[in-house]
Amino acid sequence: MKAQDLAHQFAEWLLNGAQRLAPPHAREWGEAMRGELDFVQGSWATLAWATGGTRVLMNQTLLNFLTGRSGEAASVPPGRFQAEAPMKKITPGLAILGVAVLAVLLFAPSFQQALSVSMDSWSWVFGRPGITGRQLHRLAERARAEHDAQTLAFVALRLPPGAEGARLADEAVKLDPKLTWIYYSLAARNWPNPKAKAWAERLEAWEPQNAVPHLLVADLEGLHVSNGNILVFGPDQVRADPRWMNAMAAGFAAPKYDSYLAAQLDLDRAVMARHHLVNPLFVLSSVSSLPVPGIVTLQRYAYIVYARGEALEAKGALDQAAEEYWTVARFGQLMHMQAAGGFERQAGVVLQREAYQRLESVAARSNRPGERALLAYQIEILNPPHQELRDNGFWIDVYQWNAEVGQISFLVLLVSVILLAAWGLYFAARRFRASAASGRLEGLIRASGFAGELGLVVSSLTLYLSYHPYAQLFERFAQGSGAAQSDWLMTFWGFAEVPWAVNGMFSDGFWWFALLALAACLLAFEIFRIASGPRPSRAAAL
Amino acid sequence: MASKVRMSSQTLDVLEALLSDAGSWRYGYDLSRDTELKSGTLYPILMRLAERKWLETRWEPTERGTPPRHLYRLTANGLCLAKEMLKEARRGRAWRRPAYHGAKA
Repeated sequence: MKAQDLAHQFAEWLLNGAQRLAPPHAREWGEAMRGELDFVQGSWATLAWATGGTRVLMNQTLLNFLTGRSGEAASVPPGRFQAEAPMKKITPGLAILGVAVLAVLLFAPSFQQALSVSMDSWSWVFGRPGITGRQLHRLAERARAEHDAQTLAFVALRLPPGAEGARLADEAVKLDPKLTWIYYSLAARNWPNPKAKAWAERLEAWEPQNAVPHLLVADLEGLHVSNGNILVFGPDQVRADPRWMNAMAAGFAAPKYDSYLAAQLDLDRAVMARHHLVNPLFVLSSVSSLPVPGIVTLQRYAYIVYARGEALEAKGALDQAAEEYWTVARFGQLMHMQAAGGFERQAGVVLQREAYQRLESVAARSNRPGERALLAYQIEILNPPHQELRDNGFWIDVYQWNAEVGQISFLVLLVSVILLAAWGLYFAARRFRASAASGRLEGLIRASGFAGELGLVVSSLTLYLSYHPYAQLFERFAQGSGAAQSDWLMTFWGFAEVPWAVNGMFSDGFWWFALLALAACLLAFEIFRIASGPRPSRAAAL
Repeated sequence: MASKVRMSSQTLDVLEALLSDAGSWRYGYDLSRDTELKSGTLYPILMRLAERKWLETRWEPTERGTPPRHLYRLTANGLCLAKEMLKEARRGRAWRRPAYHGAKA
């Protein structure tokens, strides 16, 4: 078969397909274009003819869909050409469709949440937190009046480090001593406030069976301030500090590991439900500000223990050496099993693996093949250390991409609303003040209106669809308890941050923002000028 | 009224092509070659002209197996208006055609 025949067949197929989709009044024209195909010379010319014809028919199909126009010709008197620009016909239909889509979606809780989260992410760009200081103070006043310890604790954990947060925390703990755990977060955030160490010690005394308060005491003990900078003491200095050594030993020997993530999330759930604060970013901000024991501190203590073990091994005291290594291994197991956060669980795996390697070596030297095989198996199943993260990696990537789509959709939605408002304002001004812009500007305004309408429909739908999985996650989180779903909450970070390009734009001294504001002012000025100007004679256009 | 009508240069090209042999019927492909307009531009113009009754159309039967061809010519009213429109366009700046169309215009 020749290339010309192939092109002809394809062109015919294309036009036939478009004709089938076209509205009745346009089919005759499809037939007309198809009738000419046999006379078009050359393969490329045939294809170009067919693609042009297909475009015409598809435009008619779209026009018909958006305007609900019947197959009859418009009732324009013969001989008179009113402006028939397709955009003018499309815009009212599309505007109604856009507003209808937005109105329907506004009733959907997940869409409301998407808007609220997206708006909050922008408020973070301008340096304001997701929940404002004024809101927090109102919550605190109400909580004081109602003796609501949980809300007082909620506010204390969100206020910037300082006296007010400390006072609210004390009030909350006084009302409900079960909230003493809030000192964990408060002490870590308020360091080097002199009260921080006192809070850590109070927490240590309140829950001595938990490793985390002991580790917090050691963490704070290992820090010092020099010339206004917070510095970490070196290994030799901490080894020589009995308070640090005692706190670490107590932490590694404790039967429980709880860094209060579950308590924090339960507090957030309760307060958010009580005050109708449905915003995942509030939870995210508290989870992300919750401290975790320093992995460097843990490793440092583990190496002190290993050094003791190595010294015992050198003396031939293999059982005592193994006991030292088991101290680290048992603590690693505890972290791995009981920690709520993925990072802490991984830290537990790292500690266990190294301790097991040392124990395997001791078992080999002690001629205990059964124990050695068991330890080798333990090391094997803990490899690779990041298996858990790798398993979730694909879905985290999907969520990140989804969040980018959602954030861009929100941006397009904002721009679309502005464009539509400008378009509506212009035509309202024209109707009431009967003034018109120059042809080129009117074309620009009309094109902006069309882009705004199309943007409104598409961005509303994509924002809804991209945020929907997040809404499902948050619902599951809100209905759960403890640290359930807490790892997945981190995927909200994608929505908590505006797209990187935009973020960069704003961080570069607000220049781009100033440029956008200037463009908006110029547009508003032009609309005002048109609205207040005289009415020129209006010419019909073809 | 017609003197105040603004038209695209492509529409004026089509009107000019139709006026060049005013009484006879023209095929779409012929008009496309005369005006150098692609089908995607030409047919929306033909559709609008026909819709406003400037243009009349008919089908030409062909041999069995090949599709019929569509033919176009200006109506009496369209002829008058097109002449007026071209005269107006030549006077004014509205019809700014590329240089290679200069000979026709």
